[in-house]
Amino acid sequence: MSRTLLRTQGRRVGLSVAVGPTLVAVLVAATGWMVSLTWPASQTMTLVNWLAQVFVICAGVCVAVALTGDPLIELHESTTTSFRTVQLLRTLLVTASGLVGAVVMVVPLRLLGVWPRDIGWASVLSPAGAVVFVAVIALVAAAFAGTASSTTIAVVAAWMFLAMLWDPYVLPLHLQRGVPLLVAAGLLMPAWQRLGDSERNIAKVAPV
Amino acid sequence: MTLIGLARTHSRVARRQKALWFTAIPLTAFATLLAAISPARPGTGGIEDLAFSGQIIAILTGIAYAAAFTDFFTASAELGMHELEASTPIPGGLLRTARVLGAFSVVIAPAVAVLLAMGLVQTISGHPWSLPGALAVTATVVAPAALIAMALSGVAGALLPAALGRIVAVLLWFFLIFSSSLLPLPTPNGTLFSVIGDAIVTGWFGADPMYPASGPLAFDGTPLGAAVSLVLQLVIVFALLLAGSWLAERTRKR
Repeated sequence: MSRTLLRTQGRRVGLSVAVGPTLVAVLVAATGWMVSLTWPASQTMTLVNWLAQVFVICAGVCVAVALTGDPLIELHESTTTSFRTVQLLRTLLVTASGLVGAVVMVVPLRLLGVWPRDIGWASVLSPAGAVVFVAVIALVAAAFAGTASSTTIAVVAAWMFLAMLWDPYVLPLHLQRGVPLLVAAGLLMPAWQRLGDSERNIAKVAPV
Repeated sequence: MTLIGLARTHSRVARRQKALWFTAIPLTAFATLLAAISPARPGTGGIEDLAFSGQIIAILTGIAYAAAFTDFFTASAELGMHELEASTPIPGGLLRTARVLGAFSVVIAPAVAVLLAMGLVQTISGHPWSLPGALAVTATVVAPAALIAMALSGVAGALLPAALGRIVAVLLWFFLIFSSSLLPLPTPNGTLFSVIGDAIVTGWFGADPMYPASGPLAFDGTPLGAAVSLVLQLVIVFALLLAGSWLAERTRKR
């Protein structure tokens, strides 16, 4: 995993997609700050609550876009850099940007006292874990589906499960994020094998 | 007739994509589960329950469809299909509408199945009108919302580059479904322009709305108000399709 390889993938993914999650986080933090100047705290928290969810979706969508629609699969497979390496690197790149984004978003909003469900600095782990979870789902979905639309639907379904069915009912943070991440780790295995299958990678043609 | 034929072809293309089924089904299942466990559900065991589930499915699956279909109007340009389409004596708008309807025929299927299953259970427990009710809810609540989300996605994709288009479409959809008079911003919720079918479920199915009627364009809970709201939503879909198609034609690489 040389630095050149990482830089090359960054270039292929495109700067806007690679820094997308961080940028969205900055925008969320800035919006929260501006709104907190004029709106009452409860209204600001309502808005921040939604925007924090939007941030997770955005991070997932960026991973989905980074992983799909690349017409160079044959080329990747014909070099020593396999398509699997490429996909993993791209996921890592955008996920790292999402993790930075989680910190950038939570820290200022928490200092302003408008971060909802504040549990100390560990609050960062909530969006950070969610970003990693949706990123892994995107990687798995992209490995099997290959199309941007299906991968994006999978990302939103994963987010919906986490934000609406899991988080409201599983409150201790280590379980709230630990269990989904364990599941995600389990899902990585079949995706790893699927991406290692060069023939199927090349045969994949994605119309919609 | 051309549109129906084209839509059938695109529907076949979309139906063959296993991935679309594998993602649309869990998505609808999560939304259904959320409707079933929601403390706000009417719980009457009648058509109000169907209307509520339909609304929740429309709201939540719309998030995914707004994000997913940004390449409706532009994908063909990347695959070189646009040259073929440009030399076909069919207007571009018609071709793109057919593409939207093709994918729509897949994503609406799990919602129809869920609502029909609910309707069947209700019929067995003594509500004879629940099966036609389920179809009516799908046609008037879920379908317009899904079409608006998909067309919105297409327009955002035609206007903006890949990732940004998806994000903007999600933001717009979040605004359409979650903004309420609690926040000091203008909102379609509580008015005839509500995309989540509040005017329709109150007017035709006797259910409670998600957001109370408010503002000068507030819905009145009458069947006429419901009809006006449905027509408005279809006009919005049509306008979005036209706008997206026009934008895609303008920016298309020759």
